[in-house]
Amino acid sequence: MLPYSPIIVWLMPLVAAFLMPLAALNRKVRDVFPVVVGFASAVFAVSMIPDVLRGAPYAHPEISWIRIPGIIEARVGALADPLSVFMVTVVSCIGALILLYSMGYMANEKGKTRYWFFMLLFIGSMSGLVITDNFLTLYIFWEMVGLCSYALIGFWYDRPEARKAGMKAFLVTRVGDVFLLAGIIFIYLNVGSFSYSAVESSLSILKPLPAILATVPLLLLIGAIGKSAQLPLHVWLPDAMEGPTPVSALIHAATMVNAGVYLMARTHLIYSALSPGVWLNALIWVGAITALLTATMALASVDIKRVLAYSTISQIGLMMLALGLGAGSGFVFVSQFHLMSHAIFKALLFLCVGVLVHSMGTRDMRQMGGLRKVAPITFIACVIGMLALSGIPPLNGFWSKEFIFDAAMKTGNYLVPIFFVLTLAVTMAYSWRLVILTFLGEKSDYAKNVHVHEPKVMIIPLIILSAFTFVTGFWGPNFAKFMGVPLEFHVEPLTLMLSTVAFLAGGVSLYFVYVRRSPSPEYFGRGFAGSVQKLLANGYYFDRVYNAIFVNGLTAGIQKFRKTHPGILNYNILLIIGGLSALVIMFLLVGGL
Amino acid sequence: MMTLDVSLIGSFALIAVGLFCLATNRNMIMMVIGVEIMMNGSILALVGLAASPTGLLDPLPQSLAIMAIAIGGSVAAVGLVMITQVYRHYKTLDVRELKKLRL
Amino acid sequence: MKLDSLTAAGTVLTAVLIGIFAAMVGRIFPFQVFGSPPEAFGPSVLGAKIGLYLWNFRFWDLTVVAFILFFSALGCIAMLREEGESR
Repeated sequence: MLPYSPIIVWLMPLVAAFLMPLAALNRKVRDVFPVVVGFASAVFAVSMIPDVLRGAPYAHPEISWIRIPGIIEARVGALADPLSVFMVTVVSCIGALILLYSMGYMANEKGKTRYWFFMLLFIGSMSGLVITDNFLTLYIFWEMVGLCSYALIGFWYDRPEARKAGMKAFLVTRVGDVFLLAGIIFIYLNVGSFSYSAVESSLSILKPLPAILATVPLLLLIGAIGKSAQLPLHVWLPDAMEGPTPVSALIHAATMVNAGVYLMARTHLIYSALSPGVWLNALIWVGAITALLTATMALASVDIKRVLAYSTISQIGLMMLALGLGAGSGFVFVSQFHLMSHAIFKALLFLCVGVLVHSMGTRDMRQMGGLRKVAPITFIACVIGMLALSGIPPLNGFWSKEFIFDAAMKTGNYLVPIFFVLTLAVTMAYSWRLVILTFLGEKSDYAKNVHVHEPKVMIIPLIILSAFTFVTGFWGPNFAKFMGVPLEFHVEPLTLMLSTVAFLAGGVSLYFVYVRRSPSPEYFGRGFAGSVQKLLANGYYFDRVYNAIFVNGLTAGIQKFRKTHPGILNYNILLIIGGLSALVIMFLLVGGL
Repeated sequence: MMTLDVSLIGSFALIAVGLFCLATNRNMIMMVIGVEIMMNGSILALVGLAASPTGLLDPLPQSLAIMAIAIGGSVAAVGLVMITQVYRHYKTLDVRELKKLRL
Repeated sequence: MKLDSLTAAGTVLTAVLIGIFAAMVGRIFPFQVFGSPPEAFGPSVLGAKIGLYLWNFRFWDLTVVAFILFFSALGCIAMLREEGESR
């Protein structure tokens, strides 16, 4: 590994972000500098892989940050163990490719310095998040990632929807972050240290401790739910599609939403030690229900990026499901493998969609159609991505989903495979619906007047990512060796048969509705099916309920509170006298006078 | 009764009168007068606390008190000038009319 | 002085405050326990040092007072100018 890699891999993008105003003095340097930094940090990340393959002990540079003897001593550092190095590689490689893509996508935008600053800051903080070795800096980087997400979603700040979406993302993840902070503080109060190794080695003392410590897994889970957009805190991700497409690809598909899954994988030992039955079940059901419900929401969406957003939430639900299926590093490996496959094919899909959105200027699928002739490379890349998403062999989506399915069947839980099969069927349906509506069929009137162009800078990442979807599926055994897990995998005929049933169910119904048009899609707009469609299109009314309680309800409450401020000076003096009297009374009753 | 008791009770009486004046008057000039009374009360407390049972007096609080009186006078002056400005703008001396900065 | 609700409330509250203070005085009269500081609060070395310094170098607080008076006079003159007057 290159010297100081665990530190440079996150420090370099952070420093480069603050050097952006200098680089912005020259227009050409401004666009090339971030891409160069991105690729350099990817090189540093990949260079750590051979060292991890050599086994423990792992590189662990650390310094003593806060030192008040007797009160607190916090050592912070970077830990290069398999999980961290894997996540850092995913983050920096996909980040570098997306930075390259942004050169083409944001070519004619104003405010590019701000964009590059936040993208570099994001890549630096995300790398720091996954490679740090204690909860304190994890939380700091967690918050920085949330800040970059807010700034990048609201990049086009003159659009009111973008501003609202940015605020919504920040506030909803904030709810999760508060619980995460409470969990971290509980851990510190009981263990006395922030670092992961100290927590793991003291788990044997933690077990007989009181019930308040048993809430720590719950608090961490709520933090992960907020950041990874699971039910019920998923409402920010579909609206976050107001940001530029590279932002959606990087933050909301490949990296930031994986921070919650990373946290669950990292604290896996805490879960399995403290009443495993409750918390592992909680993980399973949060994952399974989210996966199914958000997959159905994707079916009724007409915004091309919203479909992919719901798909992201659904796939992350599958990752959480994999983590909850059992204790031990085998299950961590399964979920991380799916994380890698998902990061690659979801980034690929977002980048393809970005080419279309960039040229056509609209995200509405009803105004696109028949674009396969004018955007052939994008069409092929999108088909490859959708094949991976629906889990068709031999692409990487198939292998990762088979691992999860296999684990689900082996643990003997009978309800979970049913959810899994249903999710597979719906995934098949919505993914090919997107391809049919956008690329096949006739060109819509709007699309006839628009010239679709595919710049080279935007095509190269597509090709690279498509190649990776083919290759990484077969890396399963090597990856298992990397994580230090003994893996014997053979394809069970039962799971294969159930998967095929799911594919057929989704594919055949899609064929009948969209290709042969009998029953036509308009049939589903009326009657009972129409009300179901309205329910799905409104996202099961989660948004409406949250708005009514937290936005309108809170505003009404505050307007009533406003009546206590009449604005008259005499009234304020009365309050001063009242407060003074209260203090003196307290003094008399309680104090030692 | 020692000097300290008298001066502290007197100081509190002055502050109470000043607070009453601030809390009940509508006229802004009366409010400035109330602030002046309260200032006198607090300076009295300052001087009273300098006393010691044997009758010796710490000279520092006395000199500080004289300077505080001077500053209190200038505070009253600035306050009255501000009232003049407010009168020029709002044409009223009633403090209950000034509600524009209401929350 | 018109007797409206705020005035009445102000009068009542001030009377309450005076009553509470009277109760406090009745409880801890006389105040001598605070009359000799070294007994009640312990010797305050820092306070004594500050007092000695300020007494020996009285020009410091005189300077501060002069500053405050000068600039408040300046501010009053500035505020008292009518609009449209030539400076």
